[in-house]
Amino acid sequence: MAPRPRCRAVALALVLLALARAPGAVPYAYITDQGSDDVAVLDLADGTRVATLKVGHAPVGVAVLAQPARVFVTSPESHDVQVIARGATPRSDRVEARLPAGELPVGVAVDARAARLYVGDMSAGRLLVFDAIGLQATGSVAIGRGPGGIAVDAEAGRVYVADRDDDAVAVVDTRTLARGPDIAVGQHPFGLALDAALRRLYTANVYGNSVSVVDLALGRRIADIAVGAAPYCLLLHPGLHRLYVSNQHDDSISIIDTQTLQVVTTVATGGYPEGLDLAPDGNRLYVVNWMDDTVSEHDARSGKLLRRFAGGRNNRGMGSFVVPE
Amino acid sequence: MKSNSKAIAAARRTLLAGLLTLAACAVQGALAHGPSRQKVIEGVDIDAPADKVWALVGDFAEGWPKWHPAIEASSADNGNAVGSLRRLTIKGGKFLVERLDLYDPSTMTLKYVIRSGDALPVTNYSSMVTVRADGNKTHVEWRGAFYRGYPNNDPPPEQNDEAALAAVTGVYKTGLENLKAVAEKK
Repeated sequence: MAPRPRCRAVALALVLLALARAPGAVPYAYITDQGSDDVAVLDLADGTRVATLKVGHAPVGVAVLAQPARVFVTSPESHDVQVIARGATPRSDRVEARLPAGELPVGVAVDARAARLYVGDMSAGRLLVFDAIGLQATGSVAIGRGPGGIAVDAEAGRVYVADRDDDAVAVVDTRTLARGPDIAVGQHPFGLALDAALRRLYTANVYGNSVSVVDLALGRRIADIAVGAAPYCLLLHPGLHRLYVSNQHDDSISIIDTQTLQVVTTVATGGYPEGLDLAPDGNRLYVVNWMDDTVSEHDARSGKLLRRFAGGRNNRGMGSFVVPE
Repeated sequence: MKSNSKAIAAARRTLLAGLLTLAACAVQGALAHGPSRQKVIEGVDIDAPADKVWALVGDFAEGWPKWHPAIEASSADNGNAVGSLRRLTIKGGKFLVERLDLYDPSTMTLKYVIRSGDALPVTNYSSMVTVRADGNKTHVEWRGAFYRGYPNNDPPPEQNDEAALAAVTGVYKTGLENLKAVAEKK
């Protein structure tokens, strides 16, 4: 007897789920190409570009949501956020919505637990909040000048934004959207990384050539670590206690041991490294190199350059861009 | 009569101060630079040894007028030491003040940023020049990253992304062309 259609659908769904979660499944990278108004989807097994999705004008920021499988992209020059609905494979991905997002949306972050999307309007100095499931604007709050990177602290119910032109981090309560006292950091902060285990926040200070370490319990900066020239994005590897810093003007990444707050090594990348993300298994680091339109793959532990993939025109990849398996 | 004109002058000064404050506020509210960073990468192959080419390009302080046709004069406050500021006088009277950020004769690489000046419709400009030996020949690459001159939306045409790209491309192409000509001269 043939199985009933409903059972068949459930069986098919289980098979698809099993396939999607197969061990060693290959992750994809969704990288914003600011010079060609698209997102390049790279198969990280070999760097092949498997899809190109047209988005808004001059896309920069990117954030990944696992469930539902979506990728959010900020396009500062068309003043909106594109929502990419991920299909069974990248070839069936499509842009399902465009959300108007102030004057100059750049930074973007997802709070998966609360299904919220945060976007920084760099020109208006506002943090915009969206329902990441219903794709509706739900609120906004005035922060400081030139907001860049955004970090969501789900545990503390806070979101942090690098107010670049104020040399400070804005602190916003996720429930009330009330703004708490700013935290002073180094000069021209852009990238942020939250260290939930150590209750710390790190900022990449573009003009300060440093990373500030903020103790979140104390609510103030406790150290500045000298890195390369024009540090831009940050990424924490919680398992390895490593903080990666992309040094735009040095064509390198600094790797900081978060337990000792020392730079353990500095590794050459491509030209003008910006966006950073890790493979889901935590073994590989990906660096988006804006100047030479490449993505470099590094060993997450040593930083050693393993492979170089062709990227798109003026690729940025500011945010999380590797999709979970 | 006299006190009257004094009062008018004082009122004018107050008005001017007010206007300057307003202008400063407007600038503060604006972005530090345009929305999207632009880049230019140009290269040239030169039929001359790399040392000879580096002798021209690597003299950040005073050497560039010897090969760049648009530069009339160059002087620097601290030679070719990192941090040195050079003032380039451009033919026609415009100028640029640039700071040397990296100087590495072992890899024949230098980096600099524009600090001020009116010669290019760009902001936040940073640049790198590398000289690479290729046997008895040389490859020179000149790359720059910058934003357009107008920081906000809807730029005037002379300060938009295209104008910035065209200006920097022109500087690099004419410079490298003439560098080749000068270096290949016997």
